Amino acid sequence: MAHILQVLVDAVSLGSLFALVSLSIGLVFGIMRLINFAQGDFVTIGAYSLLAPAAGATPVLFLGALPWPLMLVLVLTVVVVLALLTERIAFRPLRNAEPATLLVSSFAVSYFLQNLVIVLYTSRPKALSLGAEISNVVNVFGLRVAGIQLLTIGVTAVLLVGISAFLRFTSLGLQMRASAENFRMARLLGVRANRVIAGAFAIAGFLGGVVALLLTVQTGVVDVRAGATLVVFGFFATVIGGMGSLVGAALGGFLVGTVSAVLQTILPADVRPFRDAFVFAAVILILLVRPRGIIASKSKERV
Amino acid sequence: MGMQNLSSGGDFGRAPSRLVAKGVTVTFGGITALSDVDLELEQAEIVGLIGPNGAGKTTLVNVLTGFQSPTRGTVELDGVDLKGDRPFRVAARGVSRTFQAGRLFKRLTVRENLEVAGFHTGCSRRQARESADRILEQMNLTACADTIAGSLNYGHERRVGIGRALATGPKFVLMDEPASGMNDAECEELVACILDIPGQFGCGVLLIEHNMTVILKACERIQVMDGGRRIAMDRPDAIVADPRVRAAYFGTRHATSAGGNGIH
Repeated sequence: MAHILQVLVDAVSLGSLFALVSLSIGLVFGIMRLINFAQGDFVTIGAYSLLAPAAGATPVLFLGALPWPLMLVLVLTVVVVLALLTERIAFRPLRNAEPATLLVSSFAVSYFLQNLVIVLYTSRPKALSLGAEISNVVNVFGLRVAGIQLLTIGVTAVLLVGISAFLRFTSLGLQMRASAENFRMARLLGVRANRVIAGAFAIAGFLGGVVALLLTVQTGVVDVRAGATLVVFGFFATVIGGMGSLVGAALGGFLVGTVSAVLQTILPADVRPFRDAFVFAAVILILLVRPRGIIASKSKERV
Repeated sequence: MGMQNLSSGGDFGRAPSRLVAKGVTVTFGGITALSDVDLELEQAEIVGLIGPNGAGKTTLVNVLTGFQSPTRGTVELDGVDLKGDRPFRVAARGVSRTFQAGRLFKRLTVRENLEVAGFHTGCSRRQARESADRILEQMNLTACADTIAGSLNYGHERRVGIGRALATGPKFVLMDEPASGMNDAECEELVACILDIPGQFGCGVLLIEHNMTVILKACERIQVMDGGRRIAMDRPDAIVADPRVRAAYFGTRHATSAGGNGIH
């Protein structure tokens, strides 16, 4: 029983990170039909902003050296600004382009950002001990849980509630929901395309910054490839959830997290390094059963 | 002086708007969809636009709303040429339209559908909500304000679509066959709703409709089109009596396709 609960905690905390990434992808996709693979690099750059650009193996702290409230605000600001700049420079001019063009463009942005990081920091992963005190294992009802896992779950819960409230109660949130359903119609009714899209990117950047911090505390490493791996899982979660459904995106994140955590437990030790192959196989299986995702957007057009 | 101000309360404070199309011609490849068509629409009047299928009614509405640029001719709103304005720009200037398929935001509530349209002038959410509730009340739709739009029945869906167009605060609303697929009771409600629009919202209505009962009950003037041309523009009684109109429109089998509501 305790073992099952242990796996559950792992599943939910891993799923939380995936959920935040897939939600970011889903928000932007919903409005402009862009699958933004650069979302992972937002996370990467958020993590690297903790360090000063340097080629050496010993990490030199930059934002990571600040007191944590200031560090938090600045890392989030860096990623939000990056997301907004990406939108403004790379995606806004292509707004009326085919989804395939947008997808290629997002790959280009992703590789550009990765290479930018390599130029500034080299491609060598750097150890970074951040918030060591919250990584400590705490005892919760007989379960041994790392503090960062609890923090991840708590922060994600707060963000999910916060984003739901934002989408439901604010003007911009309502306009984003309407635009996600029918962008052209929303524009006809006076919704400003630039504001709504920038809003989606700002939220995606904010979530990217949060994921960057949580991931760095959890792994203790800053790696140029971390974001790209994360975005693949996040994207699968979005697809499993049903493209265009934000609830589905979050659920998909938790599902992918659960599958990973369960496989980590049940796979024989020498197969575990290939866990991700099994995760992806599970994703293919899920999509074969439900090709339009768990929460398929029902588009019943009347004739 | 004070009395004058009081009495001008119903005039909505400014000179009435005019939407004027002059000599509009649209050709697709070698085919002429519209040929030298005029249309004048005054704020606070209800004008019908009728004609057999393929007469060019929808093309004309597309031209008026910026969805189609005319090959020749102009569309002016209060003397301002709308040439080159994209649809959302035309809508922002005050020419709103409804579509044959309701095109509501199906996952939003009815109230939210109207609220989305209410931010055009930089209103707050609260102001958009108040204006949405006011429109819903005027249109007798308050009961379904919290209903998810995707679950509405056909008649309600159409009327919410009209309400949403009105929520943009337009000078003119162009309605593309709002009564199609409605039963008689729903048509009655629709007519009542349309008749209230000029008085309550101060905007003009262009009504494209096959249902002649709705057209004759709602409209002060009717423009008849056939083969991409305007063949008549007159009061309903004169239109019904016009032999050219009868030949082009009522005389054909289209009269029977109006579901028994046509004039025979």
